[in-house]
Amino acid sequence: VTGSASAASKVFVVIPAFNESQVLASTVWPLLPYGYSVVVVDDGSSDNSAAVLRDLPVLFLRHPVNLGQGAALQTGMQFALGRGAEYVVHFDADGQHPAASIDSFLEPLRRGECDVVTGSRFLTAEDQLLVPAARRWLLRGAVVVSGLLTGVWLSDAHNGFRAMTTEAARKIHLHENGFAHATEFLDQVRKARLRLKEMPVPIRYTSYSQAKGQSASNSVNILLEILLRKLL
Amino acid sequence: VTLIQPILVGAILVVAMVHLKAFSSRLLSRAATLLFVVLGVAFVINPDLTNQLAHLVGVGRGTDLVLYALFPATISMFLHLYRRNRQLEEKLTGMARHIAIQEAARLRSDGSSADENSAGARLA
Repeated sequence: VTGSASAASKVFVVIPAFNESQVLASTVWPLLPYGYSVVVVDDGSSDNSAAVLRDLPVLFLRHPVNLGQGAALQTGMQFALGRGAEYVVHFDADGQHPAASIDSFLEPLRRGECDVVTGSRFLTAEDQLLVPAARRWLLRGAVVVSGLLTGVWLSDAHNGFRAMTTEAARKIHLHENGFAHATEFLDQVRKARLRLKEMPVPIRYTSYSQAKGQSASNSVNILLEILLRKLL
Repeated sequence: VTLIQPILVGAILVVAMVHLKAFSSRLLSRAATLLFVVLGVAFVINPDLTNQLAHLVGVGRGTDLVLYALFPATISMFLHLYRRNRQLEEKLTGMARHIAIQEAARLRSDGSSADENSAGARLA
């Protein structure tokens, strides 16, 4: 279809990356055939993140200091909006999400059914089986906490895979620099009365992603951060 | 005059002077510092003042009253510092974001011109 290539380039896939040089290229590679505008936001990494992406057609932004994943996402979104994005996608750097799912995430947005799509690893039995048991319970807890705090009840509250329209992206501004951005995001979705839909997506757990992912103890930190922010 | 009194008065004056010189430029903050000096010195010179004040509000000892007053003061200081820290963080974020977007580089655009090939190349 003519024009589809330019349409794909209006889809900005924002990848926040902090010291992910080991896997960054293999996360970016599968995205390239689709023709999306891939925006890698290097969050002040001390590794050679830029070097591993050299010669790949990606847009590369770098925070001069490490600020956190929420800040990196916000930077990427702001940049994408300034470059005429029609859709903005949040995509984890560690290769957990399948590139092929992006188009299916965009479909309900294109049809105008909703403004924001978030991924869930708990909507199908197969996807759910991929989640390690301990992690499953942790995420169940996160769902309850984020439901209580934001009034948005999802099946998977901490999925890094999201897609939204430009209009929705304009209404979102993440001030939470750290991982509390997941809760803040939902909070803003509700306040801006954006229509949200969850779509099933498998998460590929590798030893790498599990080592980099949120530990149970860190989730307590995140909760504290959210509560402090709410109260003060 | 006991030994502790001149030491405490000296400490109060030093703290107040440092505060006035280094931190405060707002009138309210200067007034608060002045109040701190006046009250502090008065309490040190005449310890019974705190006792009388304590009895006035139904607290047994002056020392206890001072301790109770210290509690909200410490909490409010903590909150103040927390807010300041938050504001600084937001400024830093804004600055880092600005720099990141200004210096965004296209690592390689398809069919690119040669000067776009380096990571340092700026977007137009």
